[in-house]
Amino acid sequence: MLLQVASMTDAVRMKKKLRQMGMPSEVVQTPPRARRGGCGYSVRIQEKALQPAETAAREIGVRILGVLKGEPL
Amino acid sequence: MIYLDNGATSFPKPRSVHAEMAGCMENYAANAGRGAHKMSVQAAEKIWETRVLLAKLFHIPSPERIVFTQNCTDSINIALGGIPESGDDLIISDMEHNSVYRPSLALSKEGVRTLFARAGEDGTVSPEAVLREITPRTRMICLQHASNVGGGINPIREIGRLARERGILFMVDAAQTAGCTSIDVERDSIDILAFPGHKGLLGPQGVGGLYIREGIAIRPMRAGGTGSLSESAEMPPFLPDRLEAGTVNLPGIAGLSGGVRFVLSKGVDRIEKYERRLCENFIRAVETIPGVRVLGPEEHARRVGVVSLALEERDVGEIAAVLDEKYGIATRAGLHCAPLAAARFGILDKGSIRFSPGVFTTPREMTYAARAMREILSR
Repeated sequence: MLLQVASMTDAVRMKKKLRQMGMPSEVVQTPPRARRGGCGYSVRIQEKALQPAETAAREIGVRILGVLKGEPL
Repeated sequence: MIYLDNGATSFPKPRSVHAEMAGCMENYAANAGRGAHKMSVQAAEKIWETRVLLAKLFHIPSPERIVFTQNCTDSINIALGGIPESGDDLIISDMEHNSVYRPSLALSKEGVRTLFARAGEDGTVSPEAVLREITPRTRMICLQHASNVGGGINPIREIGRLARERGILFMVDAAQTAGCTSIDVERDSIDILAFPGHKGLLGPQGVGGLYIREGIAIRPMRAGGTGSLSESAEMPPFLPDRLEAGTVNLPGIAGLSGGVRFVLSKGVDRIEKYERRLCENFIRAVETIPGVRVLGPEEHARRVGVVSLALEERDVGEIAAVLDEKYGIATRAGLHCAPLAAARFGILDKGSIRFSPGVFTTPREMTYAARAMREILSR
């Protein structure tokens, strides 16, 4: 599952936060079907981590632009 | 060489700075935010880590509000060029470095009026002096934290408070204090903080930073690639991307992380006390030399690690050359890019010679420098 974010800075922040929470994650390029021609970065997470990840994003002020399902970690 | 020119740039640098820069160049000097491959992500992580370290040092609540720039002057230009608008008043002081003075005056072409808060005889600016210049049109106050000539520390906490109470933006130029004097953007009501990486933060040249408090809108003076929202013709609305067009100085930022980590491990308060003690002893040793005048506050607690001497009958450039050639001591002579401060101290025609120790300077080196001055001036 991918969490689309606005920038590499946000992607790195999310990755660090999730790892602090003990959740595996990695920064990837957003797939072409979702990135509307831009560079676009996302954070790949496990499906079960979606809810805590969204809460964590709100906590640190990272805006999730979209959630792409079917992109396994 | 006894290096007493830390006010211009610090030397030597901690080993951690060398190691960070070499590690970056050898292992991950890719372009952050311009790809999702491992090296690019590692580069982005180092940049973020450095923002976090700086945020810790300056008590900044949101590290993403710190933008990397080329140096402190660049930071000041970005802020002054991006915030005041036609019809606004800007307050600076009559002690500012050219890094503030020149861009402020350049704003007059854009319809921004610059007003000068007058410093006292010791070269520091009181809250009352700032208050006197406030008008209904005042948009921003931009002051140095400490003078690079007189070494006097301005009471930024009090000035910050009065600015905040009146809804005026308060910007601090921390060129001489970042890393060697306590700065807390919350406590000091600082809205915008400009700082160099290569002085008290002990990083390499070519990297500086700018903090902008949440909620302050700023027009970018540069536009270009950011690796984000690339489909848009506009610069991204969010920081740091909005003000970081183009590739950032990754090796410099990595080196800066080593410097900031060193500063945090030693503690700013300890560094400040150490440098102050060095200067105090030096001042005691040179102030009795005939024809020497120590610039700046008499009270040592109100000074940073900068001691400038005005000489009655000798040329400061000539003395600096003798110190360099005969004694192996590096100092700086002249106006120190601060003609306003020189005028304030009445030395615009002659300048001063500046001794600025750093965290690696030893008491013995300062004693040697004081003896050298006594010897040269007695000839």
